Amino acid sequence: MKTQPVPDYCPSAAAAVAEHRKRVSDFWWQLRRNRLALCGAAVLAFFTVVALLAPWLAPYSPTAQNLPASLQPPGPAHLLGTDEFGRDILSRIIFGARFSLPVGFFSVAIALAGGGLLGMLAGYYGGRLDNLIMRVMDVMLALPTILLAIVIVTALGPGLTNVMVAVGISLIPNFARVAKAAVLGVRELEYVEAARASGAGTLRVIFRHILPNSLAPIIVQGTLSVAGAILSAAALSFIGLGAQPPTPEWGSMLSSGRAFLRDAPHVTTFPGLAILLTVLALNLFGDGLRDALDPRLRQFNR
Amino acid sequence: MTGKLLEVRGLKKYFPITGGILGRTVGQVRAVDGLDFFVRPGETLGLVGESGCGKTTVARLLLRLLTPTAGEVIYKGQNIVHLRGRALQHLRRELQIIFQDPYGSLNPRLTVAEIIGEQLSIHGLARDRQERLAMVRELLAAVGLEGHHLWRYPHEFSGGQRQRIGIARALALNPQLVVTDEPVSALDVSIQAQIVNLLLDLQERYKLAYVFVSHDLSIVRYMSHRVAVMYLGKIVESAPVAVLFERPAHPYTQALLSAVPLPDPAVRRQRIVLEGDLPSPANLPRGCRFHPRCFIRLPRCREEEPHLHDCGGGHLAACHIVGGQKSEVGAPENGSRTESLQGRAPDVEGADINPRGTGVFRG
Repeated sequence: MKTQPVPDYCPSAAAAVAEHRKRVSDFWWQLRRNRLALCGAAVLAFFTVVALLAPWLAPYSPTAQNLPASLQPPGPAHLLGTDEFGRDILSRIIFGARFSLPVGFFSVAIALAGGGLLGMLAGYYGGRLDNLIMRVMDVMLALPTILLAIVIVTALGPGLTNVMVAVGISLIPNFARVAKAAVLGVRELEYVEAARASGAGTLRVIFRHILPNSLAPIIVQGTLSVAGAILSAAALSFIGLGAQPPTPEWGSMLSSGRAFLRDAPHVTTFPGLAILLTVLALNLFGDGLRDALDPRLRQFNR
Repeated sequence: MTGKLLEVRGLKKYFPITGGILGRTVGQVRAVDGLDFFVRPGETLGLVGESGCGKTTVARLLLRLLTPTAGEVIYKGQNIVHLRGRALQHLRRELQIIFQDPYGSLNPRLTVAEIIGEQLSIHGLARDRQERLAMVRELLAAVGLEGHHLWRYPHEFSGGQRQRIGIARALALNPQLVVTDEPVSALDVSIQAQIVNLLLDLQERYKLAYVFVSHDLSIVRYMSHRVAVMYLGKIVESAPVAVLFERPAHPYTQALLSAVPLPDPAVRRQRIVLEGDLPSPANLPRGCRFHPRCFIRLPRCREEEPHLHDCGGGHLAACHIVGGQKSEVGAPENGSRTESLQGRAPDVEGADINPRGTGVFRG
């Protein structure tokens, strides 16, 4: 190494470390500054707490039937009314968060892990591997997502866990495509070449240089897909492959209330609103996350 | 200054052109088609040529970012074409690259400290974080940046400053040979001068050898000790800088030089305007690859490819008309030879060994 005195205008080492810490906290600072993202995070946190504390929050059992009180509109006894079996809709929505949220998150986690990895391999290595992976993805894409999920869940057998797996697998091609496109765009940039020229290994190049710079579209795809996954799971529940009847899952509530849409719209409205709120919150949070992760989009904050 | 730090022999890189559903190879782009040159320690070799002649591919090949189709790259007596693993890693410390695009060559998500420090941590050159930061600070000072720039991101810098960061990154491993791939062509002219002078200062201070890839002849003249002119993947002429600029032998070099604007409006000079476009490197002309555009071509040029011929004093040119081959041929087929450039008095003869060219950047 060249020997040369450290110039005296440099801040002291301690100050430098402090500045580094500050920079790391900038991420949280940026996220907090974005009001909409904060609202999204708050809603998600709220639903999570509700799901965790469901037995203590819910005024009734989610499965207790009370046929004389069926299809009651919202009122003092049942804040959000009752369904066709007289079950309290508020309690069912509260317990439903325990099923719908994990279904959304886990299936997207499966799709993200599988699709992200495949897409990255295809984009990074290209050539035959790319061809092989993407043609298989094309075959999967040729089937509608829901049909693919039906095929998989039929093979695995009905049940909420299998629905997660099925929805997750059926979303893999979407993630693979997005990841591949993002990686392909970044791979050819000069800083990747510079990293290689300095002897960085494949893993370092991928995880330090390519992945962080191709993350934005993948995050957006992820947050959008959670919403889609919740809906897909709901659809599977509707045709009897997902949550089995007494289980208070939002999607199955939505579909079973469909028959009473004209006479008792509240049966479908409230689970629908729960899904809508979750999806909206996820999208807002996803946007904020993407912006906070990208230094170029950071607002000046010193 | 007599030993060879880097020597290239018969270097070739062909890119396949694939077509059809099965991706069969239907042709080849001969980006680099048999290069021979060498670089001495502490010397600058200018590599010039127009867009698409393979300069950048050569830069990538020297760094082993691409694997050559054929040929040898000998660094300090060792052929590096097939190096792997630890040996390749060691080579990376001695051979570095500065890129053309100061915007694309820095990872936008890393701070300056991380960008430059990465080099040091990959090669384990610093014991701990503190030492690494101190070394990065030293490097920043060496390229004219300040300590507080450490925690900034690339987008917070101007183009010239970014290029300085790129230079600091290349120097972090204390290399002996730096390939600079058009390091100033993306910058404003005023900034170009600063960066070029910085490169010269660093060369003197750290005894660097440069392979200076550029299409800008005046900068090449200012920077280089020796110059090699490339045309369509081949070197057509190479010579010490003063010789090349004063007595260009190859018609292509003559045409290139005649296109350089002179800062003196009183000097009148005949421009050599080449006809036609650069042929595609996927479909090279027969014989001499320059003959379709050459203004002094002979019948023989269509049939036979000329080889580099020694005109004496380290001056090589690949043309049938120059040197000893001249006597064998008849009168030029197409017009008469332009004498204007050759007629200029060489003003650097008798200068010290291996002088650099002159230019407008300093003095």
